[in-house]
Amino acid sequence: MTESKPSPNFGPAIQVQGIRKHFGHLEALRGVDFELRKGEFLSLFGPNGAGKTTLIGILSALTRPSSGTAKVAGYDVKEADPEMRREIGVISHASFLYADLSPLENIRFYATMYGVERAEERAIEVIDEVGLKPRIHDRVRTFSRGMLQRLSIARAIVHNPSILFLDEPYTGLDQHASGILKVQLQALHTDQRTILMTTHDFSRGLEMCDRVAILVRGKLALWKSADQVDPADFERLYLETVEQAK
Amino acid sequence: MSDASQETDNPGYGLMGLTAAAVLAALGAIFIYVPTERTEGVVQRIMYFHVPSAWIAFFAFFIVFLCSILYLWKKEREWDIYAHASAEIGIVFCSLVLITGPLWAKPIWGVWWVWDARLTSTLVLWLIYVAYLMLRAQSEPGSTRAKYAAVIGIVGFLDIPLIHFSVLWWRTFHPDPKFITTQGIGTGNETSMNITLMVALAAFTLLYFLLMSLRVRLERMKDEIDRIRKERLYSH
Amino acid sequence: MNQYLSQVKAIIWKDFVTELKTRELFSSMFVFAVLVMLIFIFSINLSIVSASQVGPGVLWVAILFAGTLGLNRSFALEKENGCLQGLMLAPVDRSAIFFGKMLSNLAFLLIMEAFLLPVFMIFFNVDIGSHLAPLLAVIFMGTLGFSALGTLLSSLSSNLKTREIMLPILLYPLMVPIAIGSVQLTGQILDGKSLTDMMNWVGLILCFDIIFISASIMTIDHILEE
Ligand SMILES: Nc1ncnc2c1ncn2[C@@H]1O[C@H](COP(=O)(O)OP(=O)(O)OP(=O)(O)O)[C@@H](O)[C@H]1O
Ligand SMILES: [Mg+2]
Repeated sequence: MTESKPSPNFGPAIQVQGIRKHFGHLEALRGVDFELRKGEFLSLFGPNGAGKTTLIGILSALTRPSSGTAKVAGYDVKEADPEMRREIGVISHASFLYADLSPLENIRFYATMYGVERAEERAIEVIDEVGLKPRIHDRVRTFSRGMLQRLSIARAIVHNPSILFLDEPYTGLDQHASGILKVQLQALHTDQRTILMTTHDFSRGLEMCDRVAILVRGKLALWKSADQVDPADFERLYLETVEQAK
Repeated sequence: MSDASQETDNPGYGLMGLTAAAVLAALGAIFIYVPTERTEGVVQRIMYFHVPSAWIAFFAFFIVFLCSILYLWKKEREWDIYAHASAEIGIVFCSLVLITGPLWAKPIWGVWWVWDARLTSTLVLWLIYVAYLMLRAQSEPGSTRAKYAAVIGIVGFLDIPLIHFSVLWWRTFHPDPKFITTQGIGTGNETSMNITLMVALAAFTLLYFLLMSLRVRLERMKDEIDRIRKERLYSH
Repeated sequence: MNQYLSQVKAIIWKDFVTELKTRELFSSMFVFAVLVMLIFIFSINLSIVSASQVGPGVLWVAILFAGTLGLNRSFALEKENGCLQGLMLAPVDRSAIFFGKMLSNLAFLLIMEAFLLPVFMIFFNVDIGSHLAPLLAVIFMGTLGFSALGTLLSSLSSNLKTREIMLPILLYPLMVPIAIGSVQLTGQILDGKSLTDMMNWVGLILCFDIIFISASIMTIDHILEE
């Protein structure tokens, strides 16, 4: 085991140093470094195939980095400590939901896997939060894309994680659901959760973040504080950055 | 590429020469030196191919097992290459056992195939490692393929003793076919048979190592070509 | 430890709820097993060979074939919507995932066998009532080994393009000891012999079970991780 006992109140929530990832001969990440303090919200932009999903995979200890170190909540991701997993919630491209089970059964199952106390009540609570209570006993297979996305939000927060990784969470959501997600994120953000979100939607990404980053071809091409970025001018900045990095 | 790796990439002419000499000696011993066996006649000379092939097949699969464990432990491509190469060579020699077995059996027992315990085990072994190679052929190159193959390499070898005993006990319900057992070879007055078998075993073992070094070298070259091709592809 | 057990239980429970809702797996496994038996009965002349001699073989072939159907589905279920990844994100030991899947596969197979045995008894006209206990013990041991190795290999084959083909190709040669052992034991039991006379076979099958459960626990990490 590693040296010091990690404490959630001390040090950066996410610390990434020289992370590289190869898939065969393709280098998806070519040395990424950054730090995110507890309670900070990072919006990560970047063209398709830049390596955003790969980075989230590494930070959530699903994928092993080829080299470099990353610490999440003070734990090295290579150790994949169960305590670290308890601190992390992930919304990904896939919903991770069992199509033949109902929302309640799905969320209760994940609550049990995370060792949440009073799993059933907690499940009902989060399903209510994302506005799916009326459909709580329906089969997930019959859900629309947006409802699935809402339910995966419920799945990601059921164990009350202190760090959230959101990979394009707004995809497929209607205005109403986007509103719900935004309120959710705002609540989580004011609640001092650390959030890393990738998105292709500039206004959504910029509306409440503390940090802005652009990943291009596996490298951070831009890292700025949110107050240094002008939302109205961001599209130009983005295109310029991507063009230069190529 | 550095000089050092160039050197290790050499096919090893020493090994090649040694193997050639051993193979020649074995051929001489098998076809000239050893006298024809009295009861079975000239066909008995197949034994000097059959038994060493079986030994090499088994040895090769043991190397697959070892390299698979080392791969899962160290996650180094090198062990994956060794396991792959050894499995291919093992299959070649295992096939030789399965071909020479019936060739030998036909004139002696009058049938091509008997469900003799040893031959049956070899057939099952052959199927396991054919599946192993199919698995490799069907997945994309990379660490996932290497891991899956390593699991089969380990599980397959662990199964060998179980297969051996199950087939052995299964056969005891039937008349035991006449077969030259290892005790039969070791005892008796046939020292010339003994010597020939030993020479053949040595020659086959050397042949295994030669084939290994060639196959491993080939695989490394493939990797290199792949790397260069990808590099050029992404530089544009 | 408590956490571990409740996680294993949750995985089994989830598989059962899915099956209760869809009713896809059990019925297809059972019907398939009966069909396999029928085809064998048509292809052998029961007036020449005695039923108790070929019966055990036919029974086990039916179990293995039908079991393969179940295994193929077991991890396909986890692949839909990337559920396996969701499971891997949770603080759950990889061996708990293996045990959960293995035990649910085992349970499905045992239930299927409970329905298959009466059919077997009628088709082959054998009396299993008098030696039910040893017979059930043998079926359990054999099915346990099959589920252990089968779960390991289906977790692996579910990632291949040709998963339905590769699973039996990988699994059947490795299952030879179980296939031979279970058929021998079942045959002898139906002939009225006692299990204590065949401890070598019992030992062999138990060895198989222990070896492959341990091997699975040690290698499942490598198969499940990316
Ligand atoms: N399992 C894998 N095997 C091989 N290559 C992969 C794998 N996963 C990702 N890649 C490659 O890594 C690169 C980065 O992919 P990634 O999914 O991280 O991009 P992304 O930034 O999330 O893109 P998008 O905006 O389209 O979601 C791509 O070139 C992709 O082809
Ligand atoms: Mg992505």
